[in-house]
Amino acid sequence: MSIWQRINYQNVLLAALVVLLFAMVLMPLGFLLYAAFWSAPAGDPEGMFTFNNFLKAFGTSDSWAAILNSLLLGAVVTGITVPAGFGFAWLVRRTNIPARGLLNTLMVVPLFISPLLLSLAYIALANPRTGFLNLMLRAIFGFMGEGPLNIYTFGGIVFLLASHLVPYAYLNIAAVLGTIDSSYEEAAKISGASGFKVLRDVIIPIVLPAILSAALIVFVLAAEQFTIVTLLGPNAHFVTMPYLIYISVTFYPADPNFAAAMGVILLVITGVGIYFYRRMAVQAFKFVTITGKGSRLQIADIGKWRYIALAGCLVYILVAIVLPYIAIVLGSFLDYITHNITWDKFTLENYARMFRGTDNILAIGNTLLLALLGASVGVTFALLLAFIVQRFKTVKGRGILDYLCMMPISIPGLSLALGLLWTYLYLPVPIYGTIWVLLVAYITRFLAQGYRISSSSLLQIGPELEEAARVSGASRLRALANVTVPILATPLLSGWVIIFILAALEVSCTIILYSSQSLTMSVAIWNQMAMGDTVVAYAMSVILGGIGIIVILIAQKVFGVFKYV
Amino acid sequence: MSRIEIRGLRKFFPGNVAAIDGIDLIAQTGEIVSLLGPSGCGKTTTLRCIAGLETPSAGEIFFDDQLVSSSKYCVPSEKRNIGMVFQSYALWPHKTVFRNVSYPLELKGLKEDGIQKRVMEVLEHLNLAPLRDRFPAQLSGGQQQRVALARSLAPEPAVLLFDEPLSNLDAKLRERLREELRSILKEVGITSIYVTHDQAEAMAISDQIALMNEGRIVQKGEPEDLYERPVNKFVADFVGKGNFLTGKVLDSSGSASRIALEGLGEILCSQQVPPGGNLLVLLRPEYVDIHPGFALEDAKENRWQGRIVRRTYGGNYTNYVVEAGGVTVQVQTVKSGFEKEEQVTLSVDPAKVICIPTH
Repeated sequence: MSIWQRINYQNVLLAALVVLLFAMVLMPLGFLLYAAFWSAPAGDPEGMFTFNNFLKAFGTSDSWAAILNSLLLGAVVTGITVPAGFGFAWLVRRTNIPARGLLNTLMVVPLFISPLLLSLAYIALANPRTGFLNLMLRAIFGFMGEGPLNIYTFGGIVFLLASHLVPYAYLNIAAVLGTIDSSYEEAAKISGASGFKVLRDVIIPIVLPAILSAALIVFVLAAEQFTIVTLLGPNAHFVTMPYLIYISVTFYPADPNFAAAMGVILLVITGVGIYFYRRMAVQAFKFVTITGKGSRLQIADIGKWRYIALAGCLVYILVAIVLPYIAIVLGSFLDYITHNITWDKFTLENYARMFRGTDNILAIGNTLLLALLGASVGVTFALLLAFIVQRFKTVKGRGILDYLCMMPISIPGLSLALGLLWTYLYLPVPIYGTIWVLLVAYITRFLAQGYRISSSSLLQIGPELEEAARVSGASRLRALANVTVPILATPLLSGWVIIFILAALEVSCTIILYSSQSLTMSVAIWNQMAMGDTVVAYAMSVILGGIGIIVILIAQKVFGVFKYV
Repeated sequence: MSRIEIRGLRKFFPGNVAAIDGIDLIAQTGEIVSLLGPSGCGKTTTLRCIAGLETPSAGEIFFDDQLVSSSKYCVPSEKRNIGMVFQSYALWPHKTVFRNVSYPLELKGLKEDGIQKRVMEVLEHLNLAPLRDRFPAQLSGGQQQRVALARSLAPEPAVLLFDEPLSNLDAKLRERLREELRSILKEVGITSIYVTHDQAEAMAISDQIALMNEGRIVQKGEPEDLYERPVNKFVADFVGKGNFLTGKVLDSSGSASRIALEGLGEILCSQQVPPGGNLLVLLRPEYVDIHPGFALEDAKENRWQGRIVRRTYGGNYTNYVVEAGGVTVQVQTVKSGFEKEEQVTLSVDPAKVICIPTH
């Protein structure tokens, strides 16, 4: 046989994918580190190794304050979100609260409302001068001046972050609460424990790792949050690391090396947080046994409190989902924000103006293209990587692959963007400033999500079906394509939809890497806000939100993908 | 210790599924009663009603003449002073063996040294003392099972309930543990209700068996009653293997009945059965004896010619399938020397012929 016949092309392809993975994840990190220890921007021949950037990061009071503020914000938001998440999880999964199924679905929706939309909505509702709620309250209670509500405060920022992040706490905790074998509680009751003691002595200790993992993920996401903190922070005199990084790159005088140093510090914070989060998440399921009979869950009867509890849940849904949507949709049809809404104030002018700007049409096109490609390529890439990890048991170093695939979760969007910025300024690959660098950013950023879904799906169906196909004559990749992928169609499609929406709404990477040709809708909205043209921003938000809803609906109705846990 | 009485117990689930459809049962103080039956027969639901984990739709349950369960009144599980061993053992994973066993005593409000004393007493009785500081995940299946038992015995309950406690263990361990279990329960003298689908287990452990099917008790009695004197085919088939042949009673005198059996001709049975009726005759494979060739000596009763159709060697016994007179008869015997296609003679002691009325 000639050498060409000997080469197994499939293995070559898979090896190439692994190399690509290393490049995609490690190169930006490498360049970020390089930039953080370098004294000059990319391409400047005068640069040299230096500690100055880190000295500035830890030495100036501004940046110290930013670091501390990020940690403070993380802690406060966690302190509010985790108990709330636990409360909701317990109510929905373990009590006889009405409409449990509906509530379970609704609790997850805020995850898909981009923080950008949330900020816009509450700026419209609660800015001290012209906020809609303020206008109403002032009219009702008859006082003058500003307020009473002010979103441009630390409290406002915490409020928005908590609203956005409660679903993370809810999901982590509900997953465990909802699967604890009921015989643990029954055994406790038989031993003489009342309801409260069962909760205290049996349920909470078993759920504790899940609670801790929820706390860690919320902390990390709050500390690295970009949009809310950048839109509201300056006016609230509350500056965090992501904001500092952003202005150091975007505004004059730019200090990209300092930004890179801050990016590294942020990365360390989130990296450590995610490391412990993953360890806790594994612990969380160790205590849960899935018995063959299928767990019968103990549902607590909370009597009359059911309706009060339901009201509480509905208030959250109102604040986190309904109010923002109404505010944005309403705002998009108004000339300007006022509490005195009369028919003549409604207009389609905002939408007209939006479509008149060719920039905006470009933005819509780019967003759709990037989301489509990002999701399709991303899911395929993730599936092939998961396939390598799960099915090639004899290859050494699979653990490293697995780790690399999940690593992007610990990389904040800004840090990743900075790394990519430097990578493609240096590398002779001409994608900087184009739509393609954004695609690379999105695929890298959301790799972990796609990988996790592919990995757990592959784990569930086991290799026997593919092995049967191979015995029948199919190659490994063919077996994957003909047998496994059709079976996994539903989870893979739901992964596709998740990545599509995350990509469409993405801000923190895009804001650093975009150019006038690669404008996306979220950046366009951002720019409109910066220019003060808020009502057109609302119109764009409605379109963006609408695209997300349409995609989810198509997935649900046409493909029968049930999207929520 | 309590006497348990169940009267007219019924339990419906949503969709009008009657899981239990009229159960009457008495367990005397210190008795071990098994609820035996196929999946879905209602035995676990009955157990859970006794435990107070389910409320009956109708009927009552009494512990020593105290009403504990009815459709309107249900004493909560934590107040019933019972112990329960679950199929999955339900050992709390975050507590050590010691803390698992001491928990019911802590809830009762016992003092420190009282708890220490009692827990060690129970652990030592079950040979678990060296494991006191281990966590459940570090124990074998058999050890976990004993810890679950220790936890249920520690507070000295009036009643002990078992929900298929041995079904997660391998066969040899199961056999050994059920003997140990019975001797411990008899030693403590505690009233026990034991749910299982394994008839060998039920017969080894129980004083009384209540065989259930589709929510009702089909037959209750001592293990021997169910095995030697089943009331119908379901009972006969569930508690053991059998050759079921239809027959018609020819005549019946004081001590024996003569029955015309399909295929085999006539058979003599030591039971007295009303003549003229049709019935089902049960020959247990282990009671059918097998002899070589045409052994027609003595020309006694209950002998038939046959040919071996299948032979399955099983170590301590051999199973033969014999074709005789057009019917197939299963034989279980220690005689392993017969070959396939060999001509043999079958015989049965009239005292071991079981007659089951057909309604």
